Amino acid sequence: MSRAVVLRASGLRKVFGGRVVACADIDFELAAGEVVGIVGESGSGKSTLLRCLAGLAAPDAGTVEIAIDGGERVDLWQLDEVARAQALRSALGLVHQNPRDGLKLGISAGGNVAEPLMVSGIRHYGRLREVALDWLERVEVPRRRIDDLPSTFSGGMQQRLQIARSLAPGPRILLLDEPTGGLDVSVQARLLDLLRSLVRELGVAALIVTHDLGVARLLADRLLVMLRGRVIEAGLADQVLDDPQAPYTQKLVASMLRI
Amino acid sequence: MIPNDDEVAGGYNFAYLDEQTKRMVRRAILKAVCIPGHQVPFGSREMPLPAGWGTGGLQVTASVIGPDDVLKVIDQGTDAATNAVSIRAFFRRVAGLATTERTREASLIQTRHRIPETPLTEEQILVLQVPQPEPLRQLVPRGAAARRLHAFADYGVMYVKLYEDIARFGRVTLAYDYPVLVNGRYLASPSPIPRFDNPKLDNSRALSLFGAGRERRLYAIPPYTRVASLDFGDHPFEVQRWSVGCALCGSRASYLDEIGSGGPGARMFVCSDTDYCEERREASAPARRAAGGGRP
Amino acid sequence: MFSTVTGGEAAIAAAHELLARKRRGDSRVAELGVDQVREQLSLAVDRVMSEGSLHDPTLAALAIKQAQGDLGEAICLLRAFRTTLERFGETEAVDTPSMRIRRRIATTHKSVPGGQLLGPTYDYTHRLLDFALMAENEDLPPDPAVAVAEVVPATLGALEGNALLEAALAAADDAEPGDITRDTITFPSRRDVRLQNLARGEEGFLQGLAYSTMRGFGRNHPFIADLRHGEVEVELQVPELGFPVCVGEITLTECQTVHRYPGDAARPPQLTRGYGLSFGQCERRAIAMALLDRAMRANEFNEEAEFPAQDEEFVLAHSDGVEASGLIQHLKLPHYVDFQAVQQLLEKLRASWPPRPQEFPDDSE
Repeated sequence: MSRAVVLRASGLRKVFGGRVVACADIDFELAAGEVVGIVGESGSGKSTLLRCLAGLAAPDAGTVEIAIDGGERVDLWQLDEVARAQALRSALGLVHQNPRDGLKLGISAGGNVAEPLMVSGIRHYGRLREVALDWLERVEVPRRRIDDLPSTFSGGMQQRLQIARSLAPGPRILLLDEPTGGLDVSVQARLLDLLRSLVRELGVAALIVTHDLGVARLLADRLLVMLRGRVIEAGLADQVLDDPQAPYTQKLVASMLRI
Repeated sequence: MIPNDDEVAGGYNFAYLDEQTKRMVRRAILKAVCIPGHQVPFGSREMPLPAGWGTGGLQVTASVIGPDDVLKVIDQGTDAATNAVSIRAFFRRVAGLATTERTREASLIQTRHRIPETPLTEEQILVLQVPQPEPLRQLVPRGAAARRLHAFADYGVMYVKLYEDIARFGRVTLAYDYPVLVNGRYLASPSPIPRFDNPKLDNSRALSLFGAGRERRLYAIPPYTRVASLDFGDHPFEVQRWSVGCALCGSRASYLDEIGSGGPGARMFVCSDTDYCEERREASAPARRAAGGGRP
Repeated sequence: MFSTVTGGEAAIAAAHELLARKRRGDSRVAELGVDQVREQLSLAVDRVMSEGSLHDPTLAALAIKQAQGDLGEAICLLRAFRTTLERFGETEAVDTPSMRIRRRIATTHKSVPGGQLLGPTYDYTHRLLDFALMAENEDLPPDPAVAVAEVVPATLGALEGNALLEAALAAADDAEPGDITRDTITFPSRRDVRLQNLARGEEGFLQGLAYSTMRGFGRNHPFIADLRHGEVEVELQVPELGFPVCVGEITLTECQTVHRYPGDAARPPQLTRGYGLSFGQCERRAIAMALLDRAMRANEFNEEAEFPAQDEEFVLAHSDGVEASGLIQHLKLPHYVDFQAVQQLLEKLRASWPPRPQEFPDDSE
């Protein structure tokens, strides 16, 4: 693949309480515009991995490189706290499973989308309004809801708003943690369609952590399968799902087909 | 609690605080001057004035004042306000200082809620009493969290507050204590001065020192420092305006207080800065002062 | 030098005169002596010393007299005096196990080493007004039958040496204790700093928060293992001598609590500790302090800190009565400059109220 690498993890390791190995020996790359899925059951270490990549938890060993402005890659955990916050702010968006963790419920939908833009230096109310309205439209939230609090939104609409907030500042990388987790099936389908078209349209590189192979198949170009903190299988999504090699992956795929 | 006679009190050091404490406060002030707008923790002492009544300003004043200084104390713009009188009497008592009500004559001005209308000079120090030094307190009540935002220069929450105000009310609803960005870096509280006074802090010739005793923080705006009130390009910061002038001196350029005029419906406004108002009246009627007219 | 006398100045002088007159009260009633306050209102004196952070019963009594019995004001007076005192040394940690006991209560076992000593307490009085006290009585109450001075070294009674008990703080932890009168508290805070803050915290605030933990807002299952009141010696290190010298005695109340703790990955189930200490006889505040000390150790024990009493920043930033009283009462200062600004703003907002609904014509939903 010739596209530029925007995220690279090498030798990542995170251990809890000296005993529990949450993830170990994680190596992978994410190229511009590519969608990678990380699948595995709960406890497999995929959420811990995501937290290390998102700057929320320091790994015990290994590096996380992300591309910042100008295409240069920096080692996230070698930066000081201020530089790390800056790098994360400009380069990376994060969508939490629960929209309440990613949104500010006390400020309006428009304020939620506009805040990261204000942090990045936009000081023009009219422009902020325009961008916020544009984003609401793109994530299919009615424009007239711009001044409403997200707490008055349905779960699906809250999740779409969270996606708008993460994407508005124009990150190169989007990390999603079980983005359809708390939603019912029909709402999930709509959200997945939206995500797929947004990611393609914006050319943003996305990393989706999910336990749901259906979600992975629909969105991901490549898959990493995690078990007990390690990547046990990796490859093109179709390949992994149609011809799984590791016994665990085979069981995982089989269980999906039964449903 | 505040002595009301003019004798210098025996048994207390010059200006009440002991020299060790003054040195500690001055070290904090030096640090504050070096990092304009940054809140510096200091070992605030209990003062013989209730916390919240200007103990921070009092400690700053006591630490930088010398026997040759001339002190002016104002509250709400006037020297005659009871707490200003009380603080002035305190320094006369514990430092034997000369005091004045004239802005031009003062070398050090301690103030609460106003900045004098008369432009300050390089020879003067302005000490502001601050109840809440953390401009983010209402938005981020946790001190530790607010400190991180300052470290990251991440003031998105404050801009969101402005954005939400404009979206809901068409204007920013902060009337006083309107946050400023000092030297392009630190967000700071100008203390509860009306927004009318904010522009006076920008590139001021005088050193401004901010003391918050109860919260144990002080900060500074050195002379000739850029002080910008937060705003949006298309919703610029504005100061208060009145449709009338001062009923006493006619000024249309000063902050006005509404006073009860006796008649219902009729509203009368006078300068909040009493020295400024008086100076203007004297200038327009010099004969009155020569005739020995006292101050009101 | 010149100074002008203004209306404000005259008004303040007049207010002070009125205050002096009010303080004296009806001149047909004998003036209250500072020694009377010290001897006969001793529990008020103890509280003022504790929150005023100065062990001086006579000055505390003077402050109470001067403040007309307003203990908050008296505490403020004592604190302002305290800050001006020169600091000429630091004492050794007082040895409460060797306290000469006037009162000692342990609740965890039926019989405890050293026994219980009820001492002077209101605990078992019937709260009936004693009209006999209305009359001034020349007769002294009879001397108590029980001798007061005893030493009960086992500070945690039957729990001393109990394997279930959390180890006392390692004596090897010789980090210099913090000093909240000199340094600003930063968060997360250390336990020594929290205890200092609580030791001079406003009693009502401490009690209310401690009460909230017992009603379920941060439950921590306390037992009083040892509550004692009496005299301890104060020893001062004199560098020239090279050994500590006893410089006098102070009266203290100490409360040690133990709390049920289910354990976590790193610690077995055990009894954890809370600690409270005050000048004089202030049992309510010592107990409340111990409960809050334990509540604020939530992070240390991996407990979720979800209630006010467990939130160190909330508790420590608001516990000081002198600061709280100052800010609450500063609302009496004039605020007309700010009020003018607020009034103008409200007028403007009102002029554009109700807001015109915004049009979003291209909304399909």
